[in-house]
Amino acid sequence: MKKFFAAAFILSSIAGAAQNVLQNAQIHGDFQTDFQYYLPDSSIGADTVPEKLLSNGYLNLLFTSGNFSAGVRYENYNNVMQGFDPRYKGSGIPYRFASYSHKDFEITAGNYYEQFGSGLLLRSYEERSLGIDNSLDGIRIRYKPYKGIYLKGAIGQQRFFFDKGEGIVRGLDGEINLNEFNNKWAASKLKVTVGGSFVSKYQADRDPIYNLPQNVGGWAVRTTLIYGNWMLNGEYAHKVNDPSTVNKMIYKPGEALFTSLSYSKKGFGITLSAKRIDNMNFRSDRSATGNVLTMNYLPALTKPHSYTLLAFYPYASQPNGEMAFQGQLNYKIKKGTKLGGHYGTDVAVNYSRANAIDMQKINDSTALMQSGTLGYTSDFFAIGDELYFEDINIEISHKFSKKVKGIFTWAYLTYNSDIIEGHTDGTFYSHIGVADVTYKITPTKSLRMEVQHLMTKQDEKNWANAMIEFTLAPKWFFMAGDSYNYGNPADDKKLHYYTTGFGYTKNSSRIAITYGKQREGIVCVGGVCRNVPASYGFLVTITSNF
Amino acid sequence: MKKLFQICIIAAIAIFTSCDVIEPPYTQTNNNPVVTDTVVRKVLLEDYTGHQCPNCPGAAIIAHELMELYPGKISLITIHAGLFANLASPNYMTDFRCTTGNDLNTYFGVDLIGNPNGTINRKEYSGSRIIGPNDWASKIAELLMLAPEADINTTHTFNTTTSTIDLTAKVDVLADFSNPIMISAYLTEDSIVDYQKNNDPAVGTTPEIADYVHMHVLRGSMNGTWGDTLCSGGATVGTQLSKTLSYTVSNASWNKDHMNIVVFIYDAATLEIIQTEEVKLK
Repeated sequence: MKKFFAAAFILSSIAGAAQNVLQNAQIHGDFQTDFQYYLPDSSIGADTVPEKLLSNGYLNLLFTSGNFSAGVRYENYNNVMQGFDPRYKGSGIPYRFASYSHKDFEITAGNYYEQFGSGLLLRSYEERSLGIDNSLDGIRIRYKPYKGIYLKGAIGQQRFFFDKGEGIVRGLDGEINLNEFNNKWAASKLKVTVGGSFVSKYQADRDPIYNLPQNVGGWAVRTTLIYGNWMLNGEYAHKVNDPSTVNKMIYKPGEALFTSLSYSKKGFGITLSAKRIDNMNFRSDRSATGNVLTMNYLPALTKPHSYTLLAFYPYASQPNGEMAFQGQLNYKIKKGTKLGGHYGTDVAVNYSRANAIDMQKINDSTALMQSGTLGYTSDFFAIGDELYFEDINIEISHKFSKKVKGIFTWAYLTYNSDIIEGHTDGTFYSHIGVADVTYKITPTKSLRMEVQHLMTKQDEKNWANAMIEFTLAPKWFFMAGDSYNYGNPADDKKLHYYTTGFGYTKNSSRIAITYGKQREGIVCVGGVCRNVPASYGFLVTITSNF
Repeated sequence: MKKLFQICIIAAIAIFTSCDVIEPPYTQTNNNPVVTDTVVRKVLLEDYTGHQCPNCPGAAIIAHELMELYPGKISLITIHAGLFANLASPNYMTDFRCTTGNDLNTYFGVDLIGNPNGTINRKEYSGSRIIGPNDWASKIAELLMLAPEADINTTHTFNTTTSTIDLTAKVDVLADFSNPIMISAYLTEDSIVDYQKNNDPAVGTTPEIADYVHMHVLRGSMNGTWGDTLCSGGATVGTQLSKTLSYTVSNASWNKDHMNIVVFIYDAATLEIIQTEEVKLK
């Protein structure tokens, strides 16, 4: 009888607890599916796709109740859309987690995303458009033992498509925000944050040729100083020998320095940044290439361009080595002046440059980057001669009237395709101009037009682009555009890449349908290239949040 | 609080000190014992490449290092397919592609992942059969530690007048198989001197090597990309199987003195290669 009452008591307690949990529970989620119907077009090199229709789909569900949360993501690739890694083929639940927090303590089991500092040693994240998901599957603990002190510990294996990578990732991170210690410091004009992290990976050595390190560790220190309008950021990371496919199996330790100084006040802002990367490819599998199983993130010090022709020659950080600098100046010309007009004019000038690092042979008989050696020596402050990328651009935004505003951009790009794409096509120099004008017909109707031109004597020579977009807020938009490679010396390559489409939004759901052609391109990371094939057809994108 | 910091410091030291700093020499000495076994496991390495792939000569060097490390135990097939195997004027007009290579490239999706890459016995690792060059060594080393599951003995004749190959493969089954077993016979050609792009000065001249020696180039299959059925209902230890193939080499430009026949058997359900054997055509 006692057992019966005990069991009844336990069951009622569980039911009561469950009821309490469910009473406060919330479920949120988002859904996205992209599917493309492919048409062959031999003129642009769009091959026949046997399935004709390819689709990528994602569903996120997040359950929260008080201090408890849990989530899953279902992914479906039937089959993988072109341009994405075909190893995603199939479907499943590659992401699921449960998390509990109590006061200053939080523990997560399952998949999680994490970043230490600026990510020089550890950043797991999802970037769906690039096919990147390097989430960790394991345990993460966050703890705030005292005001202003933040500690994190993580261990796990990284996602490898619908499986896990072989390596195990371990990391600790600590950050101290001095201004949170007491009220006096909180009121200080000087804000100081310092941090440090240790990250290591384990991967067994079964290689019969090389003596490989099974445990590869790295450490990093960082600080952020804010004084009035000034802000200084800096992080330095060091990694022990880590021979890998990307660094051609050399044993030199790696290091990275990222620093940024900025000043801003109303109508004026300036940022100067510098970066040195030396052999800092860091993956949980030494043989991985492309965007697979990356543990760290090396931010690119270049302005991300969104206009079609400005984004023709994008730069990606070179994990094997680069010295990069960037300066950005933002200035608002006051309204009522000759240049500012009635509404003022915004001017943004940006300059960025990435060069090789200095590399010297370790001795006369060993070639640079020779596998199974230290690879090279490098002077920390010396800049290599080879230019990887340079971008000088100016963007002027001006509102002409209540109905008309425009953004005008000019850029001069230098793009070393040999380094960035791993090709042997040399360096491309291009002038690009963009005019983007929006005409607001009524408060809910607007017309936006883009005219772009790219001029270069290399690669496929000159391109022109035009696009018109009509928005009927808040539900509809329609667009049509064309990129024309009119400067191509081969007549059969003077091709049009036209696109037309529309979108419809209702509540928190949206559907967009586009029809047209996409040019072929190459994406290369770490010496291995991925082909983004030319395509032609219909693309449908459906997104919904709830 | 004090205790927590102590734990953190200990954990940090534990992680930081768990670093293996390797001192020279960084490479191992070949201590592989001389093989005396009459039957050994052999591995098929398929290297997907292209003459316009600047990173591919480095992968070819890795493959040949492995063949030296494990003499007679690795059959190498170099498959030119995909974007980097396309023709380009003026130096890259030799077409190394073939139907079999294109089929394999499409089926395994190698081109969409990137070159250089390869398959090791077409075996799946963590859901993928595509293995990067710097992982070939460890994967091959693992496979070669396993006992052989079959022994292939081939005999063939080559009629120089008609360019006809008549080949008989006898297979002794050394393990139990529940799935059907397939047999394929591919033709490769060595020592083709032609242009190859290259971006690694440690390997050769950059940006291209004018007199690159292309080895183990896949020319085609004697019995289609996916071969023929050797036995349709699985096999048990001790079973002896046999297959006879006949094929006429129609391309007169191929140098028959430099050609090889690579015969391999594989599990029809998993596609994993069980055993391979390579012989010179002449």
